[in-house]
Amino acid sequence: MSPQPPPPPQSQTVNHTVNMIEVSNASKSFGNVVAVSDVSFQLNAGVTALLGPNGAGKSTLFRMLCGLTTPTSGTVKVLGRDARQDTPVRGKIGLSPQQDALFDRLTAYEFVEIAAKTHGVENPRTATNHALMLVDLDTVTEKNVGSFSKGMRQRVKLAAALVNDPEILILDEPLSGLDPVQRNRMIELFHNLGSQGKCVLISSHILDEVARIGSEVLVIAQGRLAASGDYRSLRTLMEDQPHVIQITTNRARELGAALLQKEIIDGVTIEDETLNITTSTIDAFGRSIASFARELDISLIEVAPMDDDLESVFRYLIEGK
Amino acid sequence: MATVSPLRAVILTHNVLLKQLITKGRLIAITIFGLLPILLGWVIGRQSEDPLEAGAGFISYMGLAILIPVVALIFASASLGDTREDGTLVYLWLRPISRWSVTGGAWAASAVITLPLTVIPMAIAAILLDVGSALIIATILTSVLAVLAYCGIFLLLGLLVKNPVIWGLAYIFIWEAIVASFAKPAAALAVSGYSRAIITGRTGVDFDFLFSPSQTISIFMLIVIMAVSMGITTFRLSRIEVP
Amino acid sequence: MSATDNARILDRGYRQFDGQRLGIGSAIRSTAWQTTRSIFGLGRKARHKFFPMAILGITYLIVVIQLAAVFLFGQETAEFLTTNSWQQVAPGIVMILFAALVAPDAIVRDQKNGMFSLYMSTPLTKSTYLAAKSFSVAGSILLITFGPALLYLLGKTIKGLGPDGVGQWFETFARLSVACIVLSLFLCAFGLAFSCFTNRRAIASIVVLLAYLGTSVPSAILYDETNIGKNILLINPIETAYEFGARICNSPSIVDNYGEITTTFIALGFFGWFLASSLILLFTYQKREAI
Repeated sequence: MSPQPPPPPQSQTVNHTVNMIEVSNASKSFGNVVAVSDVSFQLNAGVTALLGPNGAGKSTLFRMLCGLTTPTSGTVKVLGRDARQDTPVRGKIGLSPQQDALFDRLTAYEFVEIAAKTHGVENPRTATNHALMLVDLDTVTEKNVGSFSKGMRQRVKLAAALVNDPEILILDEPLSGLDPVQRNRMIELFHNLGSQGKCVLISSHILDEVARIGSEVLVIAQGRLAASGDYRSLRTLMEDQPHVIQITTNRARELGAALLQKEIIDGVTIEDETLNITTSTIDAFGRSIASFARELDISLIEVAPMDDDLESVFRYLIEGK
Repeated sequence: MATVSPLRAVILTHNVLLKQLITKGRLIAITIFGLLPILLGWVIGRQSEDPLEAGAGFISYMGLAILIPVVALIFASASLGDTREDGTLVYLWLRPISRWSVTGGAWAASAVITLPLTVIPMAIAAILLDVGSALIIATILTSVLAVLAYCGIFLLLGLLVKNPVIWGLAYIFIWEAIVASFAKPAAALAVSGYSRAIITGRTGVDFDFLFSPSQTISIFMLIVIMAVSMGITTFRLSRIEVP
Repeated sequence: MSATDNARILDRGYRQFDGQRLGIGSAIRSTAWQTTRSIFGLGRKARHKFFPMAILGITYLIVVIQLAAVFLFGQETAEFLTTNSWQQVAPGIVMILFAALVAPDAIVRDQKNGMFSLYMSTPLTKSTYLAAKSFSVAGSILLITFGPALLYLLGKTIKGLGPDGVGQWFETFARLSVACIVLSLFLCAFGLAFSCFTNRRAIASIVVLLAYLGTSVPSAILYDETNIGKNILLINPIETAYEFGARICNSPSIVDNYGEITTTFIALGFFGWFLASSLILLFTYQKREAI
């Protein structure tokens, strides 16, 4: 059975006139160190991955969103409010922080239940059991969280973040320490939550993980927002980076020579029946490759882009190569 | 989503933090240390030529100047200080409850554990001194007030500095024990000055302290110290950078 | 030019160290130095230096003020102010506060952050690890015992109020040195012994102080309020050690009532506490596993 998020409470209303998360020119400095620099974005329902290398400023951005730290300049709003000042809005946020620390002398049940009770959940017992079931910890509820493995601690944090059925879920590296099966289940859970109208923001520096979480990304590097949106669209926008395309054909050498002659491509490498071409004019290439092959009576078996995956996009954005 | 009443938030915070504060090692060590005043109270009561004066001095110097502040320091500084240090503060801070409730719950947790570990041995010691009910009542009253005030101060200290225990020890053993015995203004800023004044006032024993406020002022000041500390703690909690 | 002329391999992963190995002595020295740096907060922010430096500053300031008075106001004032050098050793409460600060810093953090296990993977053994830590802690404590006393002795000597003759000067110096070293080792053993039960530095500091208070306060009360006898004072470890130092220096007793106790009992009390502290430390570490 795939994990299903708790049903949305009937009293909950979402004000659609404001963005669920709105960050405007937010910066955060610690002394001389600029952790987050002039970041702006808006998010609404759905799953978004916050991607960036270690030390890029992901956790600081999350802390600002939750009001745990104030921006040095700019504004950060969650459901139109400042979580640091506005008490009720904190009840609509679920945070799974990066740090491993938990109240180690509480059982898993107590830890999640106290979250439910301090959030004012109407039926804390039911909500607690449900949240623990979602993260597959319903069999170890009476064990102290201090005795838990890293993966189990991670899931207790997730259960505590989910127990109040928040509109905004902010999950800082929630999959670290989980085994592959649990990862799949949690990713499925995040998708379900996103499709239920919740704004789920997940940070990670592991590209494979992010690619599975969703295509919507915010890329942050050295404190600055490098890109936002669907990462495949981002690739298309990178006109300065030549595209790499692999073509499988029955006459590779002839096709390569002809494409070069027509100046549709910048370069080519040939290996048996496979061409690896680079082109700076992807639109022109896309429009002409089929008709061109037909003219030459060459069969195209497969045309596959090689660098529109997340890793390539990330490499181009972060490393510029 | 129902709202959480301030009192319920205090109780919830108290419950969580109390469980975090109580460890077997701490309880055993402090209970053993608490046996010491009981033993000494018994010895002084049986052997001293003037057990009232000796007993009042013993309660003042052993109980009010060492046992109570040290035990309060251990628990109150850890109450919020440890959560800030290890990153668990976020689980109380990011909730739709007031900062007052978090402060109140943390203070209550440290007071609830400090009170029995200090007031009971001090009260037993006062009983074993066998000098009448005045000293027993004075000991209980003063110990309770001192615990509440120290818990307030050290709760704040836990949130203000990185090594609250070291700063707290410096306060107890340098400020209160040395500086306050030489300078009257310093004595006016020391909890022990007020708590000792209650003991001497109620028992009639005169120790010729540098600073001797009246009982009423002392009780009032201990309550004020507690309230002001908690107010500053709440203010600090609302401005703290939560890890 | 060959194709590999510009090629460089910068890192080939793990390779066995084939340089000169400096041995156990170097490991002890290095550990002791790093511990001393940690104790005094060297290379760290100012707040890490505050407490150790404040205590050091206070102990030296007292001596400097006295010497300044001696130099500025002449012989009469000097005679009024001057005591012997042993009396310039920091008072008991300051020494125990310093020991409660530095001893936990030296060993407790290693338990919490796993450094102890890392040390055990080096040529250090548990005994040499403790030796390195003791070397650092005792050396640090020596700064508040021997430092002020020596400064005072030198100051008085320059003013012409020191011991009579070269022979007596060296005898005073030797006695002072031995007494301060013995006292520092004692405080080191006491501090480390009562710090090694926990992996929390603050709690360790409290345990050290409680061990002191739990012995000193009862001993004073029992001596004052009962007829139990003067030897009950020997259960106060710090004052006993302080008095033992005074006996080595031929100095009059500074601590109240200890002058009545015979040197034999003072020595027995001192060595009893020293042995007990050392055994607690060794026994605890003997049982401790490096994970």
